[in-house]
Parts: sequence; structure tokens; C-alpha cells
Amino acid sequence: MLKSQLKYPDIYEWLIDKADANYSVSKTEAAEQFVKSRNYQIMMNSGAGFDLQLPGSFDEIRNGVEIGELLKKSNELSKQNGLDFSSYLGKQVTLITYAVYNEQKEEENIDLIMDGNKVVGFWIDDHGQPADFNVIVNALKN
Amino acid sequence: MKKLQFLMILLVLMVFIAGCTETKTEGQTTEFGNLILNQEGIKTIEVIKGATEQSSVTISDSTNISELISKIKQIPVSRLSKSEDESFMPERIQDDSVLNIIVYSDNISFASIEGEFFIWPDGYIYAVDVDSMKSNQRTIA
Repeated sequence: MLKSQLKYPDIYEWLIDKADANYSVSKTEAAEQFVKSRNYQIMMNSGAGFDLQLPGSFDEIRNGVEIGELLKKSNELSKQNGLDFSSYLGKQVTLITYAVYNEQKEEENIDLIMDGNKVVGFWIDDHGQPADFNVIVNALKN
Repeated sequence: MKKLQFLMILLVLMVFIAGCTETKTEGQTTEFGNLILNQEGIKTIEVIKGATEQSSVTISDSTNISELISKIKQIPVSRLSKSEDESFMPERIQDDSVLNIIVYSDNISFASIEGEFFIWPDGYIYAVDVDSMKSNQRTIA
């Protein structure tokens, strides 16, 4: 094996940037594949995503919003779909939302929490206004 | 005169043979570009991050591939002795920030590997001798 005598942290940073750019594509693809595997049809141009850090607990109140309570409720719905995201509290994730048609051709809003390109949370919005996605993003964005 | 000609030919042959049989020795320094085969034909770069929870991304954009090759090809790298190798690599290879970069002349497959290296946030680069890795001999370390 051969080793460089000098250090090239700029090359490491460049590779991370390029990998992240490509990773975003595969994350979107992974999300769409997951949604389709649940027999939903994604409405054109309905997807939105936001990178955020989940609060550290389900008790958190941020900017007057009981964000922990909303996430707790969302996690209960997510657990019904086989995905418990409570172990991701405090971690950096991506929240993605889609407007979809279900098997009965009814419109739904669905939300996904992703760690990289792995879906770790998934629930159907209860049609409340504003949508869960908007409430979570507005409460947790810096 | 014929004897002199014979000696000249013999000398040229000896120099040629010595050049062809240059061995890869410890401490030998070369440019990293010499360890990436078929540089003009690189089609895919695989970026594998982390030691325990690995994630892999493929870069196939030709502009990005050319940019990476031009960034690394003139970097001087030195062959490590066995003891240097053993003191450097075992701990570092378990670092979750490590990037393992593999360049391919086609889709991802062992046969199309043309170069491989590891890089850490501090910027050290650890290059694999792909020629040696793909031969029947033990990888030179």
C-alpha cells in the first residue's frame, strides 16, 4: 500500500460534497420506491423534502408549538405501519411529503422520515390544517 | 569490432531488462496517477463512506470524474513498509469518516476496477496498488 506524505482535506471535502449531491438523488428515488411499494400513486410535482434535526424528546415545545406531541402522535401512526422512529429523536433526518392517490383513488398526504436513503418513519396526514409537514418544518427550521 | 558491437548490445539488453524488472520496494515514491489504470476510460466512481454503517454513492458524471482524476493524479505517494502499514491502517480503517473510493472503467465489478484509495477528513490518502491486487500475487503492502 502507498500513502501520501502530505494531507489533502480539500479532496475529502470535495468528495463529500459530490457524494451528498448524488445521495440526494438516491434518497428521493428510495422514498418514491417506498411509496409505490405501499400502493400509492404519487401526484405529479407534489413532493417536498426538508433536512432537519428531530427534537430530543416527545415533550419538546418549539416556538410555542408542541412539536414533540405532534411527533409522538405521528410516531404512533408510523408504528402502525411498522416503523418506530423514536430512536431517531435528536438526530439529523430528512422529512419528505407527497400528495398521493390511494388504492381507492382518494387523495392523501403522506409523510416520510428518512435517515439517508432508509425510510424510518411513515404516516398518513390526518388532513388537519396546516399539514403535519408544514408544522414540523416551521417549528424545527433554524 | 564485432566484440565491441556484441558488448554494446549486451549492455543495452541489460539496461532494458533492469528497467523491466524494477521491483516495488518500500519507500518508493510515485505519483498517484501511476496507480490509476486506464485514466481516460473511467466511467464510474464509487464512494463508500464509513466502516461500520456503510453507505455507497456512485458518481458517473464525466466532468466530476475528470476533476477528481486531475486533483489526485500528481499527488506523491510512498510505499509503506510492512510495519508502517500495520501501524497506520488497522485503526484508521475502522473510522466511520473514512471514504473508500473505487474507480471503474465500466459498471461496478471487480474486473473493471482501475484504481482504489482511502481518504480521511485530515486529508491523508492511502492508495491501493490495483495492479498488484488484481494479479495472482499477494497485494503488495
